Amino acid sequence: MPLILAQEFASRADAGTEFALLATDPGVHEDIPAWCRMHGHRLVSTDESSTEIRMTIRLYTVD
Amino acid sequence: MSSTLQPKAVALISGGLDSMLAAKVIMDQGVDVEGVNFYTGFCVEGHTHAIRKRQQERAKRNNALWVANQLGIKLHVVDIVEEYKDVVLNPKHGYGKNLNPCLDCKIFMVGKAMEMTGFHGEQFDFAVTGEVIGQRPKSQRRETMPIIAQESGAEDRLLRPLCAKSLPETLPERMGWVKREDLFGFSGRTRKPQMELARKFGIEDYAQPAGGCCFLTDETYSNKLKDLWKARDRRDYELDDVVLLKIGRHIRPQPNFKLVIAREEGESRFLQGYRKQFTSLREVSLKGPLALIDGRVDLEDVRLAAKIVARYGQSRNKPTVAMEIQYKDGSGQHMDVVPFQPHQIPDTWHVGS
Repeated sequence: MPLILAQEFASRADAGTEFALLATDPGVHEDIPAWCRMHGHRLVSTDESSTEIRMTIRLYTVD
Repeated sequence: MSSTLQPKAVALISGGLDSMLAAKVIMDQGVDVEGVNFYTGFCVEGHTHAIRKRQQERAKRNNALWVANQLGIKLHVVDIVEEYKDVVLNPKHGYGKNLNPCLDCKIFMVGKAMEMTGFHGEQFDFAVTGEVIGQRPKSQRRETMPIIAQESGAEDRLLRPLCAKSLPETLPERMGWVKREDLFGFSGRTRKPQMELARKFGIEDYAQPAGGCCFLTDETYSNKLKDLWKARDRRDYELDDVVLLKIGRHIRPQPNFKLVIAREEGESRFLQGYRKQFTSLREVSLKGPLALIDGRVDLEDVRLAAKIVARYGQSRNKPTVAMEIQYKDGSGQHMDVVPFQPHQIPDTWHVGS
């Protein structure tokens, strides 16, 4: 579901928009970087605590 | 055709080998391919793969996304949970061995794919699937191929590259967008031709799901879903229901409630996210699994539930176990209970088996 939420948000947002994705699913470590690579988004940062994973993504901003 | 004059196809990507090969065959013919993966709630892919700690030796990847990434194509991940309910609850063509409405599912997904537009808003010229005649007993048979094409509305815009040579010519072939001679005529349940083609393409790593990509093909899962419908006296579900059926040990000691008991730490952590929606129980010492109560319960039911949950914790051999109950409104309660012994939990209480 985190990937679906990220894709839904991206479909409504402008290029350059930065947002944070909060997840508890460790699968995001694989999925989100791959999704960013495929669609030209930039994964700005990943922070993980004992309860959640926070990924900051900037849309359509290929380095 | 799409505005660029390069034909454009949408490929249904499940994350398995067949759909990966089908997309690759068409890409190699110069067609611009985008992938689509539908999230039904019953997908084996996705977050549920990642929940359980004991599966840590396996990659926690979403295979559809991984396949798209390997192929270098963009992937639409589309949430169809709500629309898909009608497919599950009222399949025109019936179920397979379990509650799997495979033929209706394929018709629905091909139809949805054909309605889609690409990431730049352009129409797709045709759809691609990894179907192989005879590969699946319910949906992938020679007789079902035209049914899927017709009832999805795709008609001759549906191309199955892996078995196209054994089927009537499709629009992409007639238009010269793809060469029929470069397609394949695979059939039957054997996987050898696909594995050989994968080898030719240099594809060495691919998912080999034992039970397909959908939990509805699983007998235990289907039994749990039937139990849910029976307990609620109606055939319906919400996304949380079907996600929770994938997690934990399900025990129904009374018709009015069941317990979802985590089997290990990863599941306990996942179930924590549901503590505001369900009454939950756990050993005060946290040395046992988290459990949810699904149903309407009174204090005696909660006590019974606590005895059952205590049986699965590390303190199960102690005379009494201190349990913490948390209700949906956030209020809490402590309860000392005598843990049940294995023989006090009959097999008939285990849902799904």
